[in-house]
Amino acid sequence: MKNNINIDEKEKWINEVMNSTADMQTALPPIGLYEKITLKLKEPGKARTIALPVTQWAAAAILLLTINIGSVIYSMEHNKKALRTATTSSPIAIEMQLESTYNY
Amino acid sequence: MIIDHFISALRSGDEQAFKKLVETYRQKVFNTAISLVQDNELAEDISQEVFVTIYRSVSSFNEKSTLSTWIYRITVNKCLDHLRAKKRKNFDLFSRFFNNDIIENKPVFDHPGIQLEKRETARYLFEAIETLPHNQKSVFVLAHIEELSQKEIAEIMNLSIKAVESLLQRAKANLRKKLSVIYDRRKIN
Repeated sequence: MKNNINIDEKEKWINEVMNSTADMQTALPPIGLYEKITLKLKEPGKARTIALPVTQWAAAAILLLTINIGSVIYSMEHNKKALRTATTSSPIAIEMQLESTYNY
Repeated sequence: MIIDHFISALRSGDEQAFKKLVETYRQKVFNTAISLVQDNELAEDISQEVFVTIYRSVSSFNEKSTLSTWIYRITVNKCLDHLRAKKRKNFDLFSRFFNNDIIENKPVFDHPGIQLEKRETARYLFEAIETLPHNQKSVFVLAHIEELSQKEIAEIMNLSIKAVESLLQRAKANLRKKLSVIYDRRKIN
């Protein structure tokens, strides 16, 4: 019984809300709309740039790739430099570096 | 005949004709826009954009539809463009991670045309309208707020009358579902 009353109440409220736009008036635009429009018409056309999500993802991917390539190049350069320093400082360095550590 | 003369005056860039057009349609354009986007400032911007578009493209108006239908179509399309852009912005992962304040609770919307005693109940209706898919929202606003016929809505939205009827039924069913949830939420609070 109580449940039925609740459902009726709910239905009544929903109907009331659904009909709340009855007899409504038209919203009036702010004063000076025509003047603002004419001003806009006089403005030179602006080029619009829209950043799409795809573009943003592509930019992020390129950035990550650039950082990655940079770090690889840096690490290769660093290794080369280390090897050069080692070979010039001692003639047996090459042998030492090429010596297998298999049995150690 | 008068309409033909009016349109040719608009096409020739007659300022008086354009002023008359703005005067005649500004309420319809603004009322539709504010009901769809539920934001006073944005509705004003859209109204300006609509009339700028009309002024610049009146030469392409083919007179297959009425001037009123054409203006409503431009208005609805502009509003939907803004709503889509807003949706994209809110779901953009970058915005989610770096700009949390974009995803904020929408302020309560009071349509300025609603009578004072109905303002609170209408608030719930607009909250529910906001959740509808765009095509259902447009059809509901044009039918119940602009009080246009299904035939006119069909012409504005380039749909069949049957499709409009079906969208309107689905919109009402979805609104009732949403309002039922709002009712329960109010009871809990």
